[in-house]
Amino acid sequence: MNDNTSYRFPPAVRETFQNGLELILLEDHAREAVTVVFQLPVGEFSDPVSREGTTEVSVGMMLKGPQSLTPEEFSQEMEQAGASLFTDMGDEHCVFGCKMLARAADRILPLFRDMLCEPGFRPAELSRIKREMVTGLKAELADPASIANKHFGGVLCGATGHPVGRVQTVHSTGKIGLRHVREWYDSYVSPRGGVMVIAGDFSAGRMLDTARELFGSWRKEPASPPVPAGPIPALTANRIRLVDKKDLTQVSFILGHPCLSEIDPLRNELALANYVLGGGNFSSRLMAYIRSGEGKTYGISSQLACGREYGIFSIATSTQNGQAREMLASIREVYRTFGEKGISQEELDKAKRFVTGSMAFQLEGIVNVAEKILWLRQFGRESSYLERFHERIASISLESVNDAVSRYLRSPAFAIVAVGRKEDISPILAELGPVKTVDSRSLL
Amino acid sequence: MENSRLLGDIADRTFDNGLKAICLKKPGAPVVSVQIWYKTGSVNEYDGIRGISHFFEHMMFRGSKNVGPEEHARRINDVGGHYNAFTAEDVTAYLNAVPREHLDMVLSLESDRMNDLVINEKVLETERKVIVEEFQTYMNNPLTKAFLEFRKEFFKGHAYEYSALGRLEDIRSVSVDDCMQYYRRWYAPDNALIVVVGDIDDCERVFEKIHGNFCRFPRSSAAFPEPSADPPERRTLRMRRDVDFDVPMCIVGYPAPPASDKDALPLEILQLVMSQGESSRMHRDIVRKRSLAVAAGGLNQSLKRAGMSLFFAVFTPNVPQSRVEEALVTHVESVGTGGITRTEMEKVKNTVLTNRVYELYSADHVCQKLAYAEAIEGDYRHWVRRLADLESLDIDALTAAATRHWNENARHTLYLKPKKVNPLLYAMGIVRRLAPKR
Repeated sequence: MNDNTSYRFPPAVRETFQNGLELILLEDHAREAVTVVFQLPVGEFSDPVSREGTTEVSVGMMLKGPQSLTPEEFSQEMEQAGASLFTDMGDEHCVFGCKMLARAADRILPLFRDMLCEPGFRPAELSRIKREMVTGLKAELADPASIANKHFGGVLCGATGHPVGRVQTVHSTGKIGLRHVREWYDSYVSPRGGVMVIAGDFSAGRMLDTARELFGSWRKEPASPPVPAGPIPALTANRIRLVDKKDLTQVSFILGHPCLSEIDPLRNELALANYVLGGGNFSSRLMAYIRSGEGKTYGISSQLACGREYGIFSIATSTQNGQAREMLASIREVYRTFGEKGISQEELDKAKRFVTGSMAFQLEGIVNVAEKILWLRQFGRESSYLERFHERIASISLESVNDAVSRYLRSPAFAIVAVGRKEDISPILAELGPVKTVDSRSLL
Repeated sequence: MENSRLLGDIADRTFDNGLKAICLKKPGAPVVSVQIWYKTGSVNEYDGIRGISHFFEHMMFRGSKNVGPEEHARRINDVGGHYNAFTAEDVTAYLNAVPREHLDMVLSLESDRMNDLVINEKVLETERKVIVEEFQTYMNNPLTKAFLEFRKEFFKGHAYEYSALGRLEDIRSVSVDDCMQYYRRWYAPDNALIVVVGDIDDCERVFEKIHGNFCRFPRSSAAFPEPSADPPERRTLRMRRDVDFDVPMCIVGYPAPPASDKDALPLEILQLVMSQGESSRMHRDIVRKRSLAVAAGGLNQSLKRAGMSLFFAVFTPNVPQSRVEEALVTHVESVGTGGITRTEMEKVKNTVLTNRVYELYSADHVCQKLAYAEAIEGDYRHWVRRLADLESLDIDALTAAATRHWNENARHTLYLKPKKVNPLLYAMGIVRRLAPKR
């Protein structure tokens, strides 16, 4: 890296095996560690309707280990060597990973391979995992912000059937059987379409031989490649849901609307604009106006959550019940002004400096580099995307950012979820449109 | 930079005004982490100003002589960096990370607010509202609320009785004068620690920069009074809270020694044996073998003057709480007599080593670990030497520590009982337990 003005990925050994698996090796001797990550282009959107949670349950089942070992033996083998498994599950991707000491790699990588290629799928584990998940779903009820999040997708998508609107419940989890787990595995877990990065303290030549031996012989075709979810239809009128929770002295809000996708040509422009609006913490307008200026909240932020073909813009915050009306008015005013007037050159310059400067942290250490490579691959991007990132950001003009703002942040209507006490909040929400009130346990 | 070489790479310096600096050159990503830890927290509060340390942490972002309100945060953002702060029992810490070429800027920002903070009535009133909002956010989570109540009882009569969150009535009455008094008393160079880790040229150069920024500030004119911190009274406690939360939970806690005590490391090791991972004792027995709980775990909270060893189980409404509690207690209180195996010890060593190797990837992590070891344990070298200390520990020392601290005379129990239980789910639970296991 040259003083933060550009980034060059470390030399990588790349090979695509005959079975379709794309392998990337990053040799790095900074630490005596080896990290392996395997990414599939399938995530929670692949859950069948009414069996939401299938992906999470299936991944959980795989983590219990291969056919050749009991779950107890598998966890003992892994943990005895100090190794740990991790996963990352998104709407359209999932990642299986393992961190280990370099000296344990010869022992742990074959176990990781067996877990991936020959999972045990024991019936007793299924009931245990489902019980854990049901408990987790109930535990979410402790946190009003989590409840708001859970309801938001459904309000945003309404009756469109878009997968963003579906959520895992106790009921949907209960309907997942071993057959469905096997179907999910057979359909989606395959070397074809998968990308594996192995990074750390090894000789690339030797590791390539090891990886060929372990993963090159994995013969399995996906039965049904995942279909990307399309855009979410725009809102024409406010859709409002109040989640009634009687014991709360604060109300948690999420407001938002459909937005652009990750691969939209204006994605970077809107990211810069969002930094100014609510993504930049104390540098953002929402935070400056509503927290620093008015003291109405502990935190307020805006986010862009983008998939391959869909995107969501949202603002999340909380405030005491007595201030809910002013809070909503303030948010709407900041948003309206932002949409009408856009940002200034000074704000754009600061946003650019943040976006480019923060890249150094996102690429700190070889594990972060490996994860960034997978993120690029998820959207079909090459390494050059990041290597020329600063140049790309520098070339963005104020006009193009404000064009993105004008197109994507001037929604006439919002999906609004509020979690709070009905008696206090319902009349305030009713000023914005018809309110559907539900119990806090309604999505259990 | 492997662990064996780590100690030799770290430099420290205590300046004439008492400010201590620790520095580690960590090549790699072109970033630098800078943290300032002031050795004051809720332990230095008294009735009337409970919560002022945390209040003050907020005020530290609200402007100083040469830096406008929130400008500290904005300047760090403007270069792509990040910042944070936290208040705990013994310390208040300010964390910054920036691309390496902006180290001077961070030192200048921190220096300005160490000595020249500006607090005015209007800003204080706005920030008070923010802090009340933060307080309410915690109190609106039934789990957090119950745990804070448990923690208060756990440390009753001890300097740790009040958490950094403080008391709402005190937060509502803190004045500009209170803040300035607190600032002048505790925010002095001889009560602060600065740690710099990252892709720097060399530590000597960093020390020069620190000297240039901070060493014009005088030592505190008064001594720093040490709060009374006799060990928490050995007693038992049982607490039950009916919560609006559908998952029953049992927490068992025992007073632990200060972080610098010789028993702290043995208890840390034993905690890992008991509760870390799916091959841990509690998971294997309580979750898998007997299916009493859905999850079981634990953690040690090591503080400067005392600590807590906590163990918990999350279970389903159809399982009697007494059985879960008994299972937890039996595991914890029998380890002193039963001991641990060499295989378990080996596993812990490998786990600690792996964690250490991965921690070393991040300048922020290393910076925080060094600062914690220096401020809380009394010497940053403790963190560096942890692996060597682990190698030299013998199993008998571990079990002796367990016997001293984890026993029924000091057991504190919290049972979180759901207010509402869906009778259908309860019935399903019974059916499931009666059904033959597959």
